[in-house]
Amino acid sequence: MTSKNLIIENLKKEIAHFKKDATTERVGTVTEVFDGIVRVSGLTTIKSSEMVTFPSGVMGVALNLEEDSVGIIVLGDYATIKEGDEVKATGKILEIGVGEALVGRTVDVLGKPIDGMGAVKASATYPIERVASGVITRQGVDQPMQTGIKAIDALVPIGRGQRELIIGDRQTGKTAIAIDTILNQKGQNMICVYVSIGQKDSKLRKLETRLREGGAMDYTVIVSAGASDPAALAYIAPYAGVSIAEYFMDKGQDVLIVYDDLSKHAVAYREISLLLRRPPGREAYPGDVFYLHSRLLERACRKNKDYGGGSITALPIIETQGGDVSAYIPTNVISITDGQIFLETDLFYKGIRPAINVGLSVSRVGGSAQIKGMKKVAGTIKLDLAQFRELEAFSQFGSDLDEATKSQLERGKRAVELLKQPQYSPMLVEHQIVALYALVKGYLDSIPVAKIGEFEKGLVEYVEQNAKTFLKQVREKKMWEDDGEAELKQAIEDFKKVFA
Amino acid sequence: MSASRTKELAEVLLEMTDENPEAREEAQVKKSLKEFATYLKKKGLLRKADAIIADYRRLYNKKHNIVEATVTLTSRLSEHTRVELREALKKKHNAREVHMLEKVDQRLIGGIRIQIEDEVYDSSIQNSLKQLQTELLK
Repeated sequence: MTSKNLIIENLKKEIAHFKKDATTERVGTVTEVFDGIVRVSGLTTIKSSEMVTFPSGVMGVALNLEEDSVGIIVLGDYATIKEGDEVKATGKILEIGVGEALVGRTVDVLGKPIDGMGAVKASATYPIERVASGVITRQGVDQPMQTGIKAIDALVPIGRGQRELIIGDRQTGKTAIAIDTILNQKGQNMICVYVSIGQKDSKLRKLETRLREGGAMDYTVIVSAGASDPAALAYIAPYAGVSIAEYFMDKGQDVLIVYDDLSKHAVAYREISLLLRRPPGREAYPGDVFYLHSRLLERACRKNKDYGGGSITALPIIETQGGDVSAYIPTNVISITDGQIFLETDLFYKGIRPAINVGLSVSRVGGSAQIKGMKKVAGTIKLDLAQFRELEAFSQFGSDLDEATKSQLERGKRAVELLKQPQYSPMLVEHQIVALYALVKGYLDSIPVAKIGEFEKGLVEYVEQNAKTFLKQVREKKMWEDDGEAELKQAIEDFKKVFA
Repeated sequence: MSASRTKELAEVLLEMTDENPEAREEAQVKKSLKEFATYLKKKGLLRKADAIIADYRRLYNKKHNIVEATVTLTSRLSEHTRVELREALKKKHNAREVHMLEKVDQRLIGGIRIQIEDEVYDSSIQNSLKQLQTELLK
C-alpha cells in the first residue's frame, strides 16, 4: 500500500465513529472588546460561569449577566476577537480535565500542558467552581503534615486538611517554605499541587527544575498562570488547582496545595471587576473579594472515613508591603485560614532563616495533629523563646544579671540557633525530636552558640547509629518509651564527649 | 444612557401605537410617531433611534407572537420548501406568524442554517466540517 493510501485509511478509521449532527446552538454577537473583557448581546439563556467559544477558538467565561448583554472574560488572546464576531455558548460550566496523568506535569489553567512533554490524557472533568464539602462529610484535623522545617513542625504544626497562611514581605522566603514542604512529602503518600499565580516564568522554571531534581515531581502537579497571561487566567488558576486536588481527595488521597500567591490573585480579580464596572470598595477591591478567597480556601478539608478519608491541606501565600499585615487582603486571608506563618525581613537579614516570627505565627488546629513525641519536646520551646525575647532587651545593658536570667538567655540563644535551617534540607520528624530533646533537656547549654549547627548535624548522625530503639519507637508509636529515652540520653552524652 | 433606557422608550412607543384599535389607525400612528420623535429631539435622544427601533421590533414581535427567522442557504428556496419550512417553524415555535429573511451564502457549501433571535439551527456542511475538525483535534 502506498503511503498516501495508508494515510487515507488511517483517517477513515479515525472518523469512522464520527457522527455529525445538526445542532441547535445559542449564539451572541460581540458588541465591545476591551482589555480581556468582551461584551456580548444575545446569549439570553447563558448561565453564570458558562464557557463560550469565539470564532478563533479562544474560550471565554460569562461572568456578568446583565439585562441586555453578557460580560465575558477571555481565557487567552483577546486580540483576535473583533466586534461583530459570533460567540457560541457551550452549555457547560467552566471545567478542567483532571486525572493521574497530570502528576509530574506543568499545565496551564485549562489543563493544557506547557512543559513540552506531550499531551495529557485526562480521566475525568471537574467543574472549576464547586461548593466546598459539607459538614457531614468532614472530620477534625488529626494527622500531621510534616513540613520538615523544625521551626514549623515544632512551633506552628500543620495538620492534614488545615489551611495555614504563609505571609511576609517580598524576599523573605515564603516560596522557599512551600517548596521545602513539597520536597518533604516524598514517601508520605501525598499528592502536591503548586499553583503559580502571576509569577515570572523564569521563577517557575527554576522551581520546577528544583522539584524534579529533588524527585518531587513524581507526586506534584504545577498549575501556572504566568505574569504575561491575561488577568482572567490568574483569576481562574487557584480554582483550577483545587479542582485537580479534589479529584485526588475524592479518591481518598491526601493532597497538599500551595497558592503562590493570593495577593496577585486578588489584584487580578480587582482588574477584572473594575473592567466589568463592578463598584470598587476598600483599596479598589470589589465587595466580594473576601468571598473570592473564602470559597477557595473552604474547599480545603479533611473528609471522614465514610467519605473516603481524603484531605486537602492548603498553604496560601500572601505578600505584604512593608510588613503591613493590616492591609485589606492580608487581614481577610488571616481571618479565613487556621493560622499563619509570619516571615520578617529583619530576621531574614539577621541570618535567622527560615525568618519565622515565632511570636506572631500561630496554628489554630495543628496542635492536635502533632505527634506525641514532638508535642512533648516542643511544649516548652515557645515559652522559652517568648521569655528570651523579653530578656534580650535587658541583656543589652550589661553583664550584671543573675544566674537564672543568664541561663535563660543562653538557652534562648541556642533555641534560636537550633531553629535555623538551610533551604532544601527538610528534616525527618524523629531527627527533629532528637535535636529538640537535646535542647530542652539542657544538653546544648555547654555547646558554644556558633557550633550548634555543627553539633546538631553530628548528633543526628550519631543517634541514627547508636539510639536505634529510640528512633524506632518514635517512628512506629509516635512516642518514646523509658528504655528508648535512656538510650538517647546515653547517646547524647557520648556524642558530647566525642564532639569536644 | 443605559441599554435598558432604550427599552423603556420602546415600551412607551409600543403603548402609544398599539394599545387599542383606535391607536392602531394609520393617522393616529403617524401622529403618535411624530409626537415621539419630537420628544426624542427635545431630549437629545435621536441618535438612539436605531436602538429604540430594534427594541420596539423585538417587543412588538413578542406581543403579537411573531417569529423572525434568518434562513441561510447556498441557493434560493423553492416556493414549495418555503411554505413547508414556514409551517414547520410556526409549529415548532408556536408562533402566529413567521417572517423569513432569506440569505444566500456559498460559504455554507451545502445544507441550511436557520437563526431565530440567539438560537441557531445549523445543519450546513460547513458546520459539520467544523465539528469534524474539533473531533479530530481532540
